[in-house]
Amino acid sequence: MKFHCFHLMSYPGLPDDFRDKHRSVWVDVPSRLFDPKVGNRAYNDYLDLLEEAERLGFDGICVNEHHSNAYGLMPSPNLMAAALARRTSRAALVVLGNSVALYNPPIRVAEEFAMLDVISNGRLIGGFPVGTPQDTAFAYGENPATLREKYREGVELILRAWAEPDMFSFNGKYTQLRYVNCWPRPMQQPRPPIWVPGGASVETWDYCIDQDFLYSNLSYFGYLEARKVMDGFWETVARRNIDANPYRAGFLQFVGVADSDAEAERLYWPHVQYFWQRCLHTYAGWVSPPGYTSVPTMRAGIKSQIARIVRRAGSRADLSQLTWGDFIERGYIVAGSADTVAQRLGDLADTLKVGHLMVLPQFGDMPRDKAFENIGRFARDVAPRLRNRYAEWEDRWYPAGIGGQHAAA
Amino acid sequence: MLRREIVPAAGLDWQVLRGGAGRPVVWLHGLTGADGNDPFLDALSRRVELFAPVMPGFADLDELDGLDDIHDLALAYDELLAALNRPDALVVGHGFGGMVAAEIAAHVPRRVTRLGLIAPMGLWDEERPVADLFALPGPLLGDALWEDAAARAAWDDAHLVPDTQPAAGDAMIATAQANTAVAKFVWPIPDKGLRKRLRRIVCPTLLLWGAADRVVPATYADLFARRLTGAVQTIVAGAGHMLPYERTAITVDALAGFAE
Repeated sequence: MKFHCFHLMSYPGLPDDFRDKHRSVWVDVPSRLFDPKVGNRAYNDYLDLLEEAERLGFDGICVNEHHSNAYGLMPSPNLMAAALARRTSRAALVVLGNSVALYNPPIRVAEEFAMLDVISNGRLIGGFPVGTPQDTAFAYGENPATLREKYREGVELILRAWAEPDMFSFNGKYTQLRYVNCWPRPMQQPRPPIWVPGGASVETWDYCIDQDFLYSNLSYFGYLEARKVMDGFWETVARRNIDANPYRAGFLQFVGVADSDAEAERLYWPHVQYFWQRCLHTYAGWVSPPGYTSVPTMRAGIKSQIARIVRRAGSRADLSQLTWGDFIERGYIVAGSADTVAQRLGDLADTLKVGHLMVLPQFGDMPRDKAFENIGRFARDVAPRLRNRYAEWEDRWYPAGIGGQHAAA
Repeated sequence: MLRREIVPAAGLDWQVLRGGAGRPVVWLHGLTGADGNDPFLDALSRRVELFAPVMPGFADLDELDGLDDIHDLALAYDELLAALNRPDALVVGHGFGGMVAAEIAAHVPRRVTRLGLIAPMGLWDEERPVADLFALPGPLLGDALWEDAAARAAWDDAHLVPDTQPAAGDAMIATAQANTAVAKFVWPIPDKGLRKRLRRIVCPTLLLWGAADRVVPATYADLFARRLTGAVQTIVAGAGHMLPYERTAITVDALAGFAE
């Protein structure tokens, strides 16, 4: 099993009355709430934490992409990955943007990912999210009715640009390029591993299998709720009659490690409240723009992760009335002593069968020292107990040159 | 009662609701669609020979595969109008349908001899933006569409399916398809260059607006009128964007009169 340190890079200074004064943390969250001095401190603390994660033996460090969003300060994941590429040397750089349809022309993604891969000596894991409704349809004005078609065309162009050594023309519906000629080329050949963070779109499962992309579910509601989504993916794998290699799949889990279960509550409860009550305070009108969810997915009856967020965050009484015990019981956060966390993550692995676990150790307004303490404990006291899981499987969704042999100790 | 016919045109099998006799009127519905139980269309068909095509995509999103932008859509409707073979018909559209009607007339001026625009989309005034209908959950959408509470309640009774009903899932999918079809041509701002093309429309044009329209504010009537030679405008008090359903008799009278 591999462990990756994931950072959302939330803005830590949302005021106490944020929920009462504003309707959403996203899209229309007033930018006057952003204090550049607070932002300066946050960005550097957050990058420091990801660098520390490499020192602690994490297999990868993860950044992602959001726009007009106060809980995700990375509109450009490639900038963050570039900063990390020069300050790290062993961990995979897991870049879980670029939302392909937002990059015009999408050859930009091929170029920048190739740059990152070359600078980092082949440590890039590229991410091709479709992107959330809020980011794509609203903050970036992409047409939700054609977003997925544009996304797939863009991915096709990127893969061809990496694969073909000779210049070619691309006459697409959304992108026309008379001259496609990607300089530089990626270090990893034929291409870096590609991960796709997905909600629960039924077509994404088949798409990942067709393209040999890793499928990951980035949930803010823990592994118990994600079971239905990952079951759908593994059922698709079974139906397609391919190997159920756990390294085909990844999952994001909020984690808090402490000396005891009681100490975990004392340490992490304020930041759980900040994240779920302020950072997930979203407006229902931006959840399902027309066409974003395909008719087959609607028929499948599985709501996207975002729909779940709003269903829960929308009923404020619900989220704001949850106790620490509720969060633990529901698995939104896995927290407690090292024994407790290792046991719950073992349960997570059994439940979701994922080989790649993205651990989110800093959430909401958690200060620097506490976050460092958290990943230190995780690497020292938790990861070694789970590391040998899935040792019998070959991981083909991780940079081959790294070897993946960082014992977390 | 209206009957449903299939009319092949532009590579599509169009569903066209038909009924009535008299002067020909082609009705282009907006976001809320058109069906056989539509009380406004029923009233209109008692005065005119009515053709109400269902917009491509509403019943089947695959119909939109060859229609990538408003130009493709306008030309497809042009072929449909040719197939309907009523060269002197009043072509009238509501909301998004009004935008389509204007685009047909602007793309192929000889196809439209009389044009009716009821609160059409298609222009953009930064001071008074057209409402973002796709960002209004549940009842907020109704609040934007309707001014007249009684008309809204009657519509809701006829069209809303309670979550507890087995048909709720199908209704949800039908609404999503309708919204997707419209969104494809107006996202994220319903200004696709009509401003540049309105000068091509030379036929007599009737502009109808509800004074309390919260989707396309009635101030847009002037924006259209300024660019359309020979347009007449009527602003109806007490009505919102759903004017045809809120003030049905007034709307029918105006259209039947203009179709003469």
